[in-house]
This record gives sequence, C-alpha cells and structure tokens, in this order.
Amino acid sequence: MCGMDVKGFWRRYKRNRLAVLGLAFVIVIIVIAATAPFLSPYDPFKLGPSFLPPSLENHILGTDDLGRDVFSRILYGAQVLMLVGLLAATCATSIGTVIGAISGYCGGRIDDLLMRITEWVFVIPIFLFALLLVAVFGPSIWNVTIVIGLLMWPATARLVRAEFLSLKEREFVEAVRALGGSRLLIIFGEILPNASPLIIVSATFTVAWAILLETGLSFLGLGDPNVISWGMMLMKAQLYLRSAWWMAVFPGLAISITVLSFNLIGDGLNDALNPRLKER
Amino acid sequence: MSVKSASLKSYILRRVLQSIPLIFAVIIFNFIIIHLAPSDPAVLLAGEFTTPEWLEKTRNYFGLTKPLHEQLTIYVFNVVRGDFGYSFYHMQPVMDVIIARVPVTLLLMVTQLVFASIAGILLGAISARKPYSFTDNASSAVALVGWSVPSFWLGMMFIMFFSLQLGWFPVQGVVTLREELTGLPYVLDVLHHLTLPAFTLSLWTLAIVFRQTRASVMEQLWQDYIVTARSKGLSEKTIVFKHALKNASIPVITVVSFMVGWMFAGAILVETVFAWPGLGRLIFEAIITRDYPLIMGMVIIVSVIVIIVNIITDIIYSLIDPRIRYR
Amino acid sequence: MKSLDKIYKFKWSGCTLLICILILSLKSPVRITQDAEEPKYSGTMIIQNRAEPPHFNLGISMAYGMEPACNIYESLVSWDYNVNPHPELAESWEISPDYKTFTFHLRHDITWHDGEPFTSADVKFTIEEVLIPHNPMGKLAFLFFESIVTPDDYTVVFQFKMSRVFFMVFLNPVSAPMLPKHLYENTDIMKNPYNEKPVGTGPFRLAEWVKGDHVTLVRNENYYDKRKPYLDKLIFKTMPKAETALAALENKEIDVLTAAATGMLLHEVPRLEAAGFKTSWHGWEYWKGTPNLVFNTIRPITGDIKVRQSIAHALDTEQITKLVGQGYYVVSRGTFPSTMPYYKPDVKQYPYDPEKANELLNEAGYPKDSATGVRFKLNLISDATIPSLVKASEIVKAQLKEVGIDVEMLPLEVGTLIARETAGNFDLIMELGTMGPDPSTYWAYHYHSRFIRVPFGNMAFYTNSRVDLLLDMATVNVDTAKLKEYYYEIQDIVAEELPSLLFYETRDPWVFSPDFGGVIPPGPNGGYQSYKNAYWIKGQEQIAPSPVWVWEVIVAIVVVVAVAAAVAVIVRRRRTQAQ
Repeated sequence: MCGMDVKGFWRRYKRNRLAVLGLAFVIVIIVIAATAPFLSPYDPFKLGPSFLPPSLENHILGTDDLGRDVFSRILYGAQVLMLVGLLAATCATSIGTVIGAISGYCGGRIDDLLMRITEWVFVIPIFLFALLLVAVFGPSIWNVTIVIGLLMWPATARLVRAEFLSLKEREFVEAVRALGGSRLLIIFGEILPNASPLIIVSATFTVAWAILLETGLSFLGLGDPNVISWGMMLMKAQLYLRSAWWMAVFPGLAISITVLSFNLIGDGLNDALNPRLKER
Repeated sequence: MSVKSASLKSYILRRVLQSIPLIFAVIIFNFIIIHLAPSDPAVLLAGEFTTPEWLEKTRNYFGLTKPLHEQLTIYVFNVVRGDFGYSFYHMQPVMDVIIARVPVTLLLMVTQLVFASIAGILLGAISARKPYSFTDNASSAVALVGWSVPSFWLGMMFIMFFSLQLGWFPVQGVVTLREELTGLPYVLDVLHHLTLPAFTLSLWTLAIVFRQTRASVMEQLWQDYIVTARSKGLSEKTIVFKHALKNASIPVITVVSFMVGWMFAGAILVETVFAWPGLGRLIFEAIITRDYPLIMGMVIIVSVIVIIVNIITDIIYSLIDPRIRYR
Repeated sequence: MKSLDKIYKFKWSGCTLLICILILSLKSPVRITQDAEEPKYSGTMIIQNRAEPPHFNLGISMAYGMEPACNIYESLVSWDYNVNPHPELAESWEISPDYKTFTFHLRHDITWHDGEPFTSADVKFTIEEVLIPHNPMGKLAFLFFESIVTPDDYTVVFQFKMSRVFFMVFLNPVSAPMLPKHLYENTDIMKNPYNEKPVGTGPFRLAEWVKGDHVTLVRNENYYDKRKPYLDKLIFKTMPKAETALAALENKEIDVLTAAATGMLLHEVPRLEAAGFKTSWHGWEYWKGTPNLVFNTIRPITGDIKVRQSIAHALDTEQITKLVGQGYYVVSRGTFPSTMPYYKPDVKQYPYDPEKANELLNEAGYPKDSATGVRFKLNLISDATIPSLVKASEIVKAQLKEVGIDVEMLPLEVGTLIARETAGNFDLIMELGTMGPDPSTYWAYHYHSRFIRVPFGNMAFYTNSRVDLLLDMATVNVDTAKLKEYYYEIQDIVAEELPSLLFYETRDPWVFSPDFGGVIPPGPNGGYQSYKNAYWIKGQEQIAPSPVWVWEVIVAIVVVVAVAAAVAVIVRRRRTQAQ
C-alpha cells in the first residue's frame, strides 16, 4: 500500500496511553458481549427478591425491581449494544464511503446530485426521525439498526469525498490511469485503501454516536423489550432513584465507559494519522 | 459594494429556493411514514367503551376517511397558507399548541448554547495556546466526559446528587407553584430551576465547541501570518484572541450549526428527565398519541429551523469568504 | 407619691392588657356551623395530574388529564366511597319500580359561573345534544333511552324503553356533566371556544391554564352550597412521570399524589407513611382495575382449552401480585373484581402447578423441542404507556419460559394495539380490564359476542351462546334473585372456559400532605369528582375572616379606651385623695 506507514502509525498510536486504554476497553466489551452467557453469575431473566442492594456475597451490583441480577443484565446488555452499534455503524459507513467515493472521484453532475442528497439527509434531525420511524414501525432492534444505518452516513460521505478529491490528483493514481485501469479499479483498488484510515476514524466515531442514539431511544421507551438494553434499564431506574440507586448508576456508567472508549480510539487514530498537529 | 450586495442577495435567494423542495420532501415523507402505521388515531380520540359507529363518526370528523393523496394535497395547501391544522388530542390549532411550548425550550437551548459557547471558546483558545498544560488537560477531560456520557443519565445523576442528596436544586419543573412569584423572585426561581437541566445539556455542547475551537486555533497558530504577527511584537493574547480565533471561527460555527439537530435530541431527553414542558416533550407525546397534525407540524417546524440555521451559517461564510458564493 | 402612681398605673395597665387579650380570644359572634371534622377555610392545594388536559369539555372527551374539569362541571348526583348517590344538582329523585322512569328534582338556587340560572332545559340539552351524540360513553350510559321530559324548570324525567337497574351510576361528572345550553346551543360543540374557557356550576372556576404545565382553579364565590368549597385554590400540575411527582411531593412542591402515580411507586409508600404523609386507600371503588391476560380464542394454539388451562397453572399469580403490588395488591381468585355486585367467590381455581402445566401441554400435543426446550412461541401485546402492564408482561414472559413457552413482548401504542386487537392479529393481550359499577354493561363488554371487534371490548373473540343469553337477560331483569342466578352461572362458565385470566386487584393509594384533610380522593372514581370536601387544616374557622377580624379589633379598641379612661380617672382621684 503506497503512502501508508503502518509501523510508524502504530508506534504513534501506542504512545497515546488513553487511546490504548480505549482500545483495551473496547476489546473487553466485545469479549463480554460474546461470552456473556458464560460470564454472568445469574440468569438475567430470572425473577427473585427485588431491590437487594449491592453486596459482595451474592449480587455484586444488586437486583432490580423484579429481582433480576443487575450485574448479569449489564453483561448481557453489552450484546445488544455492540450488535446495534457495530452493525449500524458498518452500514452507515459503507453507504457513506460508496457515495463519497463516487461523488469525489466522478465529480460533475453526479457529484452535485449526490452532494445535494447528502445535504438533505444531513439536515434531517436524526433523533426526531428515528423516534418517528421506530414509533411507527415498532421497537425491534432491527428497526433501530436500520434507522441509524440509513441516517448516519452523510458525515462519512463528506469526509470520504474530500479525501477522494485530494487523492485523485496524486501521482500513483495518474500512473494507474495511464496503465489503463478502469474507474472502479482505481476507486476501490487504489484510492480507497489510502483513504481507509480516515474511514476507520469516521466509523469509530459513528459507533459512538450510534450507541448514544440507541440508548436514547431505549430510554424514551422505544427500545425492544425482549432484549436487555442499558437504555431500557435506565428508563426503569428513574422510578427508583431514591430507593435503589444501583439500578441507575451502573448501566449509565457502562454506557459512558463504552462510548468514551470509542471516542478515545477515534481521537487516538486521528492523532496518530496527523502527527503534525500534536507537536508544538 | 453594490456588486457584492447584489451577489449576496442572489446567493441568499438561491439557497432559500434550493431549500424549498427539501421542505416539500420532508412534508411528503412524513405524511407517508405516518400513514403507513397500522394504527388508527380515531381509537385514541374516542377512548374506551366506544362503538364502531362512534369511531366512524370520529374518522369522518377529522377527515381521516378521505383518500391519502387528497388528504396530502389539502394539507400542503393549508401549510402554505400558514394553517397547520387542528391537533387531534388538544383540539386546538397546531400552531397554538407549539407556540405555547416554545419559550421553555428556547430558554433551555439558548442558555446552554450561550454558556457552552463562551466557556468552550475561551477554554479552547487557552488550551490551543498551551497544549498539555493543566488547563488543557482538565478541559479536555471535561470535554471527553461531556461528549461520551449520555445526557439523560447525567441529568439523573445530577438529580440524585444535587437535588435528592444535597437538596440544593429542585428536582423538576420550571417554577415553584406554591407561591405566585413576580418580578425578581420569579426570575430567580426560574433560574434556580434552570440550573441543572441547562448545565446537563451544556456539557455536551461545551465538549463539541471546545474540541473544535482547540483544533482550529491550533491549526491557525501554525499559519504564516501568525509568525509574522509574532515577529512584529504583538502580544500573545492579541494574536490568539484577535487573529487566530477570528479565523478559526468558521469551523466552530459550522460544527455548532451541524449539531443543532442533536441539541434538539438532547433537549427531548433532558426535558423528559427534568419534566420541563417544552417542545421536546411535546413531540414525544405527539408521537405516542399519534396526533398526526401535531407531529407533522412539529417535524416541519424543526426541519425548517435546521434548514434556516444552515442557510444562516452559509451566509456568514459567504460574508467571510466571498469565494464560496460562486460555487 | 410618684412611685405609688407608677405602681397603680402598672397594675391597671396590666389588667387592661389582660382584659384585652381575653376579649380578643373570644370567638366572634359571626360563626358558621361546621361538620364534625371541623374543616377550615382558605388554602391552596396542588394536585398531580397524570396528563395534560386537551380541553375542559367533559361532555365530549374522556381523555386522561380531565380531572380539573370535574371541579368546574357537576352532575345530577355525587358519589361516596360506598358508591351511594348524594344530592348535587338534584336535591331528590324517584325511581320507578321497573327501573324505566327516573325523576329528578333540581335545586332552585344554582347558577352558572356567568350568572345565568341552571334549569332543566340545560339538562335536556346536555343529554340530547351533547352526551348521546358526542360522549364516548354516551350510547352506553343512555342505553335504551327513549325520551327526556322537563315538565317545569326544575324537574327532569328520564324514560327508558327497558329496565336500567344501574342507570344512576352513570350520573357522574365524567359520563354526565351538565353543560350550559345558552353557551353551546347552535354551535359546533367540538370547536366551541368555551371548551377552553369553561362555564360550569361547580365549586371552582377556571382561573388560569398554562398549557403543558398547570391548571389553576379558584373558589366559586356563588356556589349554591354556601359552606363549600373550603379551599381557595386548586392547582393541577401536569406530571405524567411518577418519579418526578414523588420528588415533588417530598419537596413540598405538590400536595397530592394520585393513584395514577402511586401505582408505580408502591415500594415508596411505607417510607412516605413513616415520613408523615397521609394515605387514602379509596378512589378505586367505581372503576376496578383487574389486569388480566386475554387469550385469542380463535387462533389454534391459544384457542385450545388445554393450552389456556396449562398457562393458568404455569403462572404464579402470587409472585406476580407480590412483585407488582409490593404487598398491597390482592390476588384475584375469580373472573371478575371481588368488589363488584354479584361476585361469585368460589369459581374454578388454577393453582400454581408447573408440573401440571407441562403435563397438559404434552397432552395437547406440543412437546418440548429437544435442543431449545421451547414448545411454541406466542406474542403478547400490551399498552406501552401503562408501566404496570409492561411489568406484568415481563413477569409472565419469565414464568412461561419455565414451561417452554417463548413469549415475545410487543408494547404498542394504543392505536396500533386496537388495530391489531380488532383484527385478531395477536396471541395474548395484557390489559387493564377496567370495570365500572354496572355489571350488565361492563361484563357484556368483555364477554358478549356482540362486542367482538369493538375496541376495548370482547378482545378474546369469545363466543358462547349461553353466556350471551344470560347477559342479555341480566341486562333487562330487575329481580335481584334472578340476577344473582344469571351472574353466578356466567362466572362459572367463564372460569371453566378461560377466555381471560385475572391476576390481581389493584389497590393504589392516594398519598398527600398532612396539611390537608377531608375527602381526598374526592370520590369512588378517584379524581373524577370535585374537591369541595377537602380542606387545609391550617386554615381559618370561617370563610370570611376580614369582617370578623375588624369586629374584634373595634371591640378591643373600645374596651382599651374605656379601661384606660377609667384608669386615668381613678388614678387622678387617688392622687387628689392622697394630696
């Protein structure tokens, strides 16, 4: 891959301790999501004595209003979060990349049209539309994922387009064109790999936004009640702020740490890609 | 001068005209979405213990039985004339319902925006000047937290700590109903109720503003004209705050205007947590009760506001950098 | 000499002061007779309202949040906690033995808030032009209605084609508020501006409506009951969220927490009681909520009686009651609320027996899948805006999982819920099962085949011709022995066939500040009656304190002046004597 210094990049990234921490956390969360059934001490759906405060003997983080173990529910909640977050971000980033790439490379009328559409979708207040669409089509996790995926691509599209605009004039592209490479090959074979760090950064931040969006929707009551989600746990916890604080504190902490980790990774990637801005 | 203003006017006109089809698209899209729902608002309006005849009557009264395209056409014509219809649930003109709730949300949004902008720009500029100083690290930490922590959870934590534990702030509402305060005590009471919700919202905005300001100002400080200014002997303060900041302002304004939609989302969540009777809460209730006219009205208005903000931002750019106009 | 003077002066001044104090503490001769509880006058009471009222016209809407309007409008009678009628707009009434003719004699001294007199013409207008055509419950309340006659300004006669044993219970502010004819005649009732600026006969008038936030009502100075209301002002604060209302109550920002909120806060009740708040366990006697699980009896799985019976055995209603009711709810043992007239306590029971449940399911031909342990999947729809139902749904889902039934929960908003329910597009519904005090109409709503596909009606698609017949006969019969026979048989049949399964009976308290007393909640249907019998315990004895206070001060001044003059005279005499 031309123009990409992978080793140097990783070295710079490692220097940023916070970014490494973020990466570690994300890996931990993904592992938790994958192995929740093995890690959780209790069945998160099993009913029992309600409102038990956190104690080291049995329920480390206490039980909720129906007597279910909060710790187990947090572990299981990671599954939905990761699923929706990663899937929606992947969807949005893919769409954004394709549109941005075509728009940036082809220019002219296609560029105008695609950018006009991008602007339109960008201007839509996402949360409002997500509320409406989920309320209309029902609160299942697939609906939420699709909605987020279909609305969050403009940011990526713009970034990718800008990158393509600058990259398409570079020498290696000229070379391939001179050799007779098709447009598709140039876009996806040459420019895209060079733009990929940027795309990954954008994807990382998109995951963070997607998580905040999904938890916000669940908090308002528009989440899927058949799965465990941290946002819904917080919604229920509002009634018990005074008597069962552990129901509110821990799920929210989990959300914050997860989003923070993705943001740290995004920042770390950004800094590692643009070392000039870091130095004084 | 006249050439400049003429092209500015035509630019504004162009932008506005470009936005009109978008607004139409928004209206039509909404209309279709809402009517795709397998739901019948007549049921909600009729209430429990009703009969099929009563339901039919309700549907006829609200014009729900006409074919969709007819309903849509009627609606669009009315909107153009400024008539947004009657809210099913509130039995009043949609505009009245919306306008009654605007001041509350406006108060919340403006307060948090002003506070966050001032704090964010100041801290961002200072941090850009001295990266990795204590101020920079502290502000960056706060910004990171503000950007990552969900606003509704933050609000709940604030309530738990500051209201329930310490009792410093009221838990909910805009004013205390107990006494009827007027004048200064009233203003102070509102401010007292405003503190926690506005602070909760502002942390997020502050994070955005801070990060962008810091990045942009740092970018500026690398430029040649800054080196020139320094060699001329201008003080650091002037350089940073007068020159660098001014040129860095465009990206900051951009990012803030992009975030208006998300700010509104934050308002919905925070208004829920603190029980403030604002637009955010209204749109949520309207969706829950399937109040079609109100939903449509609110979506149109919010979209129009966002579009207007975007246009204003573009206009500000074109004032600062005239080259943009000729794109 | 001088010192003696001083002592005398001091003594006499002291006596004067004492006499003044005694006089001031005397109760003024202007006294109003009190009830046994000694309610006081004045005060502002702030009440939580579960929703923002859309407007104030009770005649055309039964939406949530309309409680404030029940203080502005009244009906012919009012109700106490035993669901017995008391005179309100009507001072007396007669019912014909066949329950077809109801004659009401109205009070002569009632005026509308705008000063116009209230007459029988208003009653006739409201019933014929507003309630029957526009009120959602109008057709039900005035079933078999034939005519309404007003022989004079203060007499109203209702005539029905068939017997209406329970007609009177519909005369409450929600289903039969009295509206002013002179303001609604010949107008579009739905869009009449008085829907927002109501003019009623009630003990309170509308003072202010800050939309989205609160409604303020003030005392009606011209109310026909001169002793009432006691309170000066009522403020209804819109607080849909229970936890917000709870915090407001504890911060003294509101005074009354209604049952709508406490239903979700039962775990806080002991703490509130310990902190000194008053609780009232009334307000549910009129509408009884019995959350129940409704089966779709025309679908193959839920239509199988064995499946329904096994689900009944698989559900631990004790656990459900305990988790949702926190010890305050009562497990339901019948097919109807236990407090309804003609309730049969000993119908067929289905005790918690998961083994038997498994057995029945195997017999019915639904074996457990060897890998997942699941027999079949059912969907459970419920109203998303009622948190207690969502909670009960979660518990049902967890309990049915134990016997291999995978339940998918679908909380929906009401419109979608009804659309699916009337289309039969569901397996199970968790619903509130609200029943009013008239068995004939409400039981028919739930189990008569006539009400299939009617929103909130016979959701189970249940058809049993014997039950239909019994319900029809019960509607028109007036003989209590016969009625008991019919209703008992209906309950036995329904308990056998299980179109729906009851869990518990709700008993949500009203919690309010100890500074208030009287009848809180106002009536057996919770907040849907006026607060005219509630008072502030720190108020004054009389309704008009100013003249009394002035009177006492005048007396005190006169006495003081007289005594001072006497003292001066005596002292001077003593002085001249001493000299």
